[in-house]
Amino acid sequence: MVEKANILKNLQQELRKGTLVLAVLSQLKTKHYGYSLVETLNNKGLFIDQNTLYPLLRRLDTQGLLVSTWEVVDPRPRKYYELSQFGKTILSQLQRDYENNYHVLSDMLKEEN
Amino acid sequence: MELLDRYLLQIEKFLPLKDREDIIQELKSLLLEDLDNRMMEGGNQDDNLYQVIKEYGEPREVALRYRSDSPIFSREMEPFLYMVLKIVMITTPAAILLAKSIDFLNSGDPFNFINLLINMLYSIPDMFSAAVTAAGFVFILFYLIEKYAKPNIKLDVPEFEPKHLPQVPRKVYKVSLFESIFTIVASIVIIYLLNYQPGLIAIYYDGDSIPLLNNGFTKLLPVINTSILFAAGIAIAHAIKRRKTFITTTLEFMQTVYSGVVLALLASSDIFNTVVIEGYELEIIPRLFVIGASIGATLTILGAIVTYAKVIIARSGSEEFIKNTINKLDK
Repeated sequence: MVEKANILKNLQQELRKGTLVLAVLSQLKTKHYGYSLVETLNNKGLFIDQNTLYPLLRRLDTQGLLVSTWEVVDPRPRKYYELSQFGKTILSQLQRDYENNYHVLSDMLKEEN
Repeated sequence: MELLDRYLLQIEKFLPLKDREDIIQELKSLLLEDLDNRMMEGGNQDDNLYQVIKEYGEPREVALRYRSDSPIFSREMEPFLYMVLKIVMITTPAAILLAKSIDFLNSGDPFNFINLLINMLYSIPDMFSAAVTAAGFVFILFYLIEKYAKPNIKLDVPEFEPKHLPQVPRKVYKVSLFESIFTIVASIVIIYLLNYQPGLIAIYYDGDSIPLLNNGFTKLLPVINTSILFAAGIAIAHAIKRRKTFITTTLEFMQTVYSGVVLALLASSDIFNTVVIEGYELEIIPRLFVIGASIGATLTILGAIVTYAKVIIARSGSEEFIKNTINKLDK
């Protein structure tokens, strides 16, 4: 039983992993720092751990999808992230792919055998 | 806030060198942001900070999320690797020492403790070489096991407890990783050159090379080897711990004084090949060496004493007392 629960958990994680990047990129059309992005995503119903999001932001930044800047906002400096030009192109491509997959999958899941 | 510094220091250890500073700065800012939000809901700062850290997770796990590469050895395999490395690095040199001592005792010469001790000192390069080779084999063996056998080791990892995070070292106990690695590599190169390629220290002329050093230098090799190995041992301890302790600082002081004595010994000994020196009219080399080594020995010993005195003062907490006394004297 425990194993079945683990299988479900792993599959759910895999399903979520792919959409997480898309969700993060979609919210970075406007400038955010790590903590504010966690709050935004949580408020919109996508719950994400801080320790998953922060390394992901750095990875996307390194890949050139984001632009990062340090800004001193009282009471401490914050690192802000925003979509780069390349990030915008990637986001629109990913969005098209996601919408396409969504329609195909929705139709498949509606089929009755 | 001291707990946060302790936490970040442990994360920093496992981060890639080039991004270390930026990641830590960002993490600090984000964790403090989280703390601020919790403080608005009430509660004590220490308790809230404890909770922020506890929820964020174990430092090594946190750092690994920032790395694109995976560690060579898994967390489960590491304790076994270290245990075998320790055993091998103690037993291999011990076996060499024992074999050489038995060989010496069976040589038929009348027993003399001093000669036995000198014989043991001459075994240092072989012991060192055996230990490094054995450690290399163990490392390769564990790497192959990890890569191909993929053993399923179940390790009972205790739950992360922020209160058990090590203290932030005082300034005098901070250690430079680069310096430690440089010392280890330099020690290996110097030991190899002095013991296995002494002919390279030579006068190169007209396609020929004539050794610059004589038997006097060879006789001093055991004391030089001891000094270098002593330094390498301390550097290894520092590289692993990433901080100095009072014990390693004391050992470092002893090693520095000892190397100063070795330098003085070299300065006062006849170590140059006179045939080469006189033949090529290079008398300037031994003269410069004596001056350089004498100054070096004096500065090394004085430097060691001053550095160690600073550590003692910082440790005894009398830094404030001395500053106040100086201020009073100024007035």
